[in-house]
Amino acid sequence: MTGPELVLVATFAAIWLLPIGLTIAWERRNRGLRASVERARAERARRVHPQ
Amino acid sequence: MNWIAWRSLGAAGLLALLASTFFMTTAASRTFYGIDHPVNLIFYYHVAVAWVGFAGLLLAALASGAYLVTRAPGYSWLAEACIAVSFAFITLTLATGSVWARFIWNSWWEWSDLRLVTALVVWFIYAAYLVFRHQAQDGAVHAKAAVFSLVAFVSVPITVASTRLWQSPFHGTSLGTDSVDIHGLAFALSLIGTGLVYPYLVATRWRTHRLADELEAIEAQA
Amino acid sequence: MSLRPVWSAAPAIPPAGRPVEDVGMPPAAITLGAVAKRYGRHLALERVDLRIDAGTTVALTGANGAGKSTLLGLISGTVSPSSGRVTLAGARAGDGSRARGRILGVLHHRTMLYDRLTGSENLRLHATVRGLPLGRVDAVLAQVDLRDAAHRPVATYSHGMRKRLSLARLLLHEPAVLLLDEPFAGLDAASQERLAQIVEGLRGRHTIVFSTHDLPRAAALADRVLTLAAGRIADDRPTEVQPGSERPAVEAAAHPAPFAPAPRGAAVTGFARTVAALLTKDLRIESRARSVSTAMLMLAGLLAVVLGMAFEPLANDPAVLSGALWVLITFAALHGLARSFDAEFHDDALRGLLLTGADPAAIYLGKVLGTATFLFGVALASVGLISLFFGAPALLGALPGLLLLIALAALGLTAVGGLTTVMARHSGLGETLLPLLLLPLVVPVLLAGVASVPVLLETGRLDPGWLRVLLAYDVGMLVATTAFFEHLLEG
Repeated sequence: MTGPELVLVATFAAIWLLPIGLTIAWERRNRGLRASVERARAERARRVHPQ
Repeated sequence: MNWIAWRSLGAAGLLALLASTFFMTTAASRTFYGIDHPVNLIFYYHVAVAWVGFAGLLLAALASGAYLVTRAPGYSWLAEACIAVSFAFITLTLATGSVWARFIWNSWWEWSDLRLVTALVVWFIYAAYLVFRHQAQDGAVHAKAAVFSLVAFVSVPITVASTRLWQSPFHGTSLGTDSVDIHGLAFALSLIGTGLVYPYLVATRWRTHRLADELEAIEAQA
Repeated sequence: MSLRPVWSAAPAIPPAGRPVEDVGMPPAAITLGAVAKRYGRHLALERVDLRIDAGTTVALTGANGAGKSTLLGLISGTVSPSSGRVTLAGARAGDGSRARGRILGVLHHRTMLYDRLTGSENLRLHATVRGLPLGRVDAVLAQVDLRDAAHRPVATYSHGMRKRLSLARLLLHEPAVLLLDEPFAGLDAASQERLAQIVEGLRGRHTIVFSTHDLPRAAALADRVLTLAAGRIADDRPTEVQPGSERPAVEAAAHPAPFAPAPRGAAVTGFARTVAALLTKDLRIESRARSVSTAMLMLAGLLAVVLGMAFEPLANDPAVLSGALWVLITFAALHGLARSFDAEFHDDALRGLLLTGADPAAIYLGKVLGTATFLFGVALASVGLISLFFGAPALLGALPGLLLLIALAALGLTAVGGLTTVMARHSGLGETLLPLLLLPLVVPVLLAGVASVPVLLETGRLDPGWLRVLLAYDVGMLVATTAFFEHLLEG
């Protein structure tokens, strides 16, 4: 593949990779945060109502 | 709207973009301004992403105004989410435009073209917003960022109007010229697809803010 | 820093469900209903209920961190309560910060005055912004025993004199309520005694709340001593009433605001007066210290030397001349803005002006016009510097067009620059952030400037397209920044 062709392919790939990349990265971060929230909630419940 | 619905929106957007890609590669003309080159197909993404990205900045300005009036943190999150996604979209606009220019004008960048330069200015302004907004996570910065976003938006209509104030030497009007034969369906699908992916991404980022806030509230109580 | 908190005006009718106050009781000047304040995880004040009668003097004591400053901040409105209500008598609902500025006088640790101005000039500035007759200035100067020092710059004042001048600033508008945050802290014994005598003279005429660590002083000066501990009122007791020193509280309760707010039609003249007062203040300070323009000129001169050397072979290219000129102006603006606003933050003087309840838009506009004037002067000097170091007198030939161009650019640069400077300062992120916030926003001005000069040199006329952009930008940015400046100050 020549230089210009490579640029062209890379550009069209980037157009697709940007939204997909953002989706994967942000969804993953949200999952992590969600888990932290659950953990913190459970932790607090344990402290407020100890066995 | 629950979370499944937002994700369906994003998925539908990607499907529309796929369909658009199908039509543009099979049926659309690759000859723009008399030059036959596959790079011309970038147009279908370039314009859609630019339009949606700039529209998002308007939404961000409205959300910032609403934040200053109500002080409800949700508006601040919405403004930041819109600007973050719009920033990504404008980055893509600049990149695709630059690649297209490399093949057609044989130059990556033209300083004499105001459409290009003013779009770059908007990119810099909102980059500054994002840096500022992420300096600290308290209400004081939120209000200041909202003011910045409102002031920054003044530059957007000036940018958009810029092509009417001067003759743009390179970047002509995108639509409605004889020298460009646009495949209507492919363009419409691209615009719809981008228009669906955008709110999904904004909602995802908004949710990040909400979860972070929730976490902070729980930790503050502990 | 917050200047406009959640603050509510007293309702005209006592809310239902509360006992109607006894007819014989003096009216309340300040009421706190279940007020709590937390900073993040730290609870600074815990559900405080407090009623302070009009005309009484109340001392707040307690260890550092007990909540004294928070309590004063809640009453003054610089701190917004996390929950509960703070009400001030004499304010109507919806009056907002203006009414607070009229009812309150707040003495802070910092003087909120301009060092370079004389005592009298500082007070005149405040009187003008408040729309008071200038005769008040002499009256309050006499009241705090500063008439002899009135025409000396505040920079030459001792700590005690500054305190008294700050107090005079509060007394200008005869506020119903005086809030004094540790007024005696850091003063020597003689100055303390002098200040105490002045406060003694104010007792009964104003409702006074002051915080102090000095318990004997609190007992001597106050009618009531509140002791705070860990965010609660731990102790609340009246001081011994000394025979013969009883004050007629009723007189104080009926004490009217002698300087009523100006009628509505005067709003426009009030706005213009404030803008003019701020502009005059900046010009006066600059004519004495020249700190802003000298700093800008130094920078512009150095840049002219460096650029002149670097671009000597290209010195006849109008584009190079234009680029060099706007580099000078940009750097001068960045530096000048930082210097100009330094003076405002040095002793919190700008905050003092905002606390008067004057229109923040007028204060901002006055400040912008002042700074734009200096920048215009320096930009004009830059034209001379570029002509000198590039050996290009053509620039001077195009001066009429350049004047307009530079004036428009200076206005746009300072309108945005003022806002971003305050923004960077208030976020506690300092000057490192200023170029980042300012430069992207002013690129349109710089582009217009850079593109216009070669056209001007070639045709002798300004390019109408760029002129329109500059005008649109100036108008848009001036309106937006003046309108939103107020929101910047809120917490």
